[in-house]
Amino acid sequence: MPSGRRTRALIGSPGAGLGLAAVALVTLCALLPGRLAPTDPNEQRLLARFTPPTARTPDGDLALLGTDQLGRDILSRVIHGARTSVLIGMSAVLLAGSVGTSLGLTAGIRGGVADHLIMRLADMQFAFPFILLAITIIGVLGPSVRNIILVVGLSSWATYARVVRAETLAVRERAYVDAARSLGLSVPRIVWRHILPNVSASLIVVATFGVAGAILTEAGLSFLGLGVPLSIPSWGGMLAEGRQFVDTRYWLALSPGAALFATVMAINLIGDALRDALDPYLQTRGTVDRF
Amino acid sequence: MRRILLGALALVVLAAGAAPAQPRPVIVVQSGEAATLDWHMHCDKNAHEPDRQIFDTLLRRDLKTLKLEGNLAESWRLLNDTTWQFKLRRGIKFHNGEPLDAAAVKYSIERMLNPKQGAPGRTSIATIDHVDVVDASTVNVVTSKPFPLLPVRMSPGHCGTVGIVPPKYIEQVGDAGFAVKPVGTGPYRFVEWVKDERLVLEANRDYHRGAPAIERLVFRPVPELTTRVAALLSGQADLVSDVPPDQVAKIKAGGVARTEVSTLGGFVIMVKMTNYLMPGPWQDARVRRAINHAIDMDTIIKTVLEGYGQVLGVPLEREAFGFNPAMKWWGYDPERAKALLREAGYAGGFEMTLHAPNRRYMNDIEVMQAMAGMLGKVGIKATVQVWEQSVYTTKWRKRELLPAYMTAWGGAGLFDGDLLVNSLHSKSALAVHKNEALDRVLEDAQGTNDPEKRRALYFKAQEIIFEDAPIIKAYQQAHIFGISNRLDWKPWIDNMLFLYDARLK
Repeated sequence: MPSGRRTRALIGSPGAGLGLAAVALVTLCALLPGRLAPTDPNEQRLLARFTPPTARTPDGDLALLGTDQLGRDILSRVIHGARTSVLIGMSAVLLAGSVGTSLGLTAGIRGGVADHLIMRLADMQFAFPFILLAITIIGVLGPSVRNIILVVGLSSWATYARVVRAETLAVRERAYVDAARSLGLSVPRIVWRHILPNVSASLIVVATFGVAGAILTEAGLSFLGLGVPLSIPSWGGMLAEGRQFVDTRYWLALSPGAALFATVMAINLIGDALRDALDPYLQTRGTVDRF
Repeated sequence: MRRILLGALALVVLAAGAAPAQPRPVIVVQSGEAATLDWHMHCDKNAHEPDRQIFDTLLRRDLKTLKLEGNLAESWRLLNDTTWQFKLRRGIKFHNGEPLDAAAVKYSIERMLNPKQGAPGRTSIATIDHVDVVDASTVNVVTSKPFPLLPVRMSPGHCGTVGIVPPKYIEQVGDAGFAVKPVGTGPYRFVEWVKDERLVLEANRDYHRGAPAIERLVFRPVPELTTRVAALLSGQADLVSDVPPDQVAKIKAGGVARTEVSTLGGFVIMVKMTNYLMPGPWQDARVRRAINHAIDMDTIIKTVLEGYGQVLGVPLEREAFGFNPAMKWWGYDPERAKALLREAGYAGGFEMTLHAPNRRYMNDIEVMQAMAGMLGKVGIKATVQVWEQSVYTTKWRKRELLPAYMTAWGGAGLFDGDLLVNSLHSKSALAVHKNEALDRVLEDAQGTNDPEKRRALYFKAQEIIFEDAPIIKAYQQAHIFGISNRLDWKPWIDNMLFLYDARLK
């Protein structure tokens, strides 16, 4: 399918359009939080704690989304929290994607012992309880953004490895790969020029959902107190702090929860549209029988 | 799911069974369940709460004057510098009929003292050398050196105080049997314990001070705090401890329960700073004073603790023996803080980590964050590091929470300057600060029975602590209880839920 049609298919879907707009907004917040946020997200004004949304603090400032238990501005914290979420979501997926793709390609192309070894490793990864891994790594290394990326990345590489391996197995039997091989191209070159581009469609779809998953995981870990340090605003951390007050001061958890929900929803909408746009079977459905 | 259903069924049956004859039992919901009910073998609030009803001690405290008075013992006196004699009240029996006599007291003290027993509170009474039975109702407790705190250790408190246990019964059922089916001389006797579900006690009709008014007590573990408060508001619980301040309004608005505050004996909370375990600006006393000047503890207590606490400075409760009421502390003065930092050569500020426990003390994380925010205003970039409870405990034992961490002492009814040993003597388990002059003064105070000498030494110790500023000013948290309106009971000393004088309205 020509790329122009794909793009049109992607933009044309109303869900994806909405998703793209939301993701663009979140990305903007992540890139320029200092410009967009009304105040420093960590500035405490103890005497203005628990100011409800749209009310004014004792100093007369408008707190659009209210203030939290330390009098910090929730709007500013939600905006800055976007940076944490996006940073962790993207980095974790990059880590998981590169590890998983390399291993998947190796398994798919080499086959034999390497394939067995890598796939059993993937099975183990799937069977291993994620929370246990998280508690162990965070417990030993301490909570930090880097360690969260490590935990989330290392716990999701297996998905990428499986997808890439399956695609590689199919692609490597194609005539053009045979042709390349008979022309004497080196294995890395074949992988780079012929196999990787052909598995990338699936990879992009998996990675998109992966970002949403990683953002949720970060929020979950921060909620459990295993996440990023308190000095860095994060939606999960805000939810955890707000939980205690959820029945008396609802707004502490409401805004970060809504931001998290909207972001994950938006990414998933884009992922759905991407899958529709990139999946050759779905695109050609009705004209060619699927086998 | 099945377990929940069975649990619900059991509760219904329990309530229904009790209904016709008498009112529903008084239900106490706790944050967790005891691992053992053997008084000697835990330092656990959730175990101490039921144990305080089951067991008794030789002495007790008058709630108004805080003076010690006789309980199982009718009198006690110091025979010489190292011998204390206790005369027991006659005719008291354990719940199984075993007599409470001198032999039982000797057995109880020596059981806790025996290193093989592994009692966690052993070190608190390790100065005791042995116990002599003089006659059936007289015991002499002999210490290896003067031990002024001995009477306190024979009165109700957390671990480190001696509960009197029945020797014959323990011999019969063994330690393991005793841990799950305890027998004591307290106002309530053990009935049954269904793990993760309920612990049932009933009134001891033969209690030596008269039978308690409440027929049945049930302790139930409910880990989630909001669920405990919800249970209170829906009438499924009568007593909840450690209610956070933000829930107070909700409980009052519910109309079925009230809150009572106990300020006596509450946790004395402090942030300790090291002066030798980790290199850095905090090794300089001027910097530690500057940190104190930077923090507006009054505002923190007014806002973050919603007023449920008081600033102390020196980590000693006001009611404690040896507390110096004239003692000051470094007050809130950010300009002075900046000046001191300049003087010490840190005009540009520095970075430091403050280690915080996760919900061990009232709004602890918020208190630490507020401190960090205030330190930021004088140029100290402080980051709060929160640790899971188990990790926090392990790390503080290994002295890895550096350069500063939050901890607390008290809540144990000790009311004595000796608490300073636990918190600040360099050899105590949780110390990260070393001051040899302070160590010496505190050791001297432990070595004499003379109250006047001890008082003078504790006054001296408080001066040294003030100058050295090894902590960020200590504060004491008040403890909030949620109590159902049908229960007539007032809390007195924190963590010492004693329901003998409770009654139903």
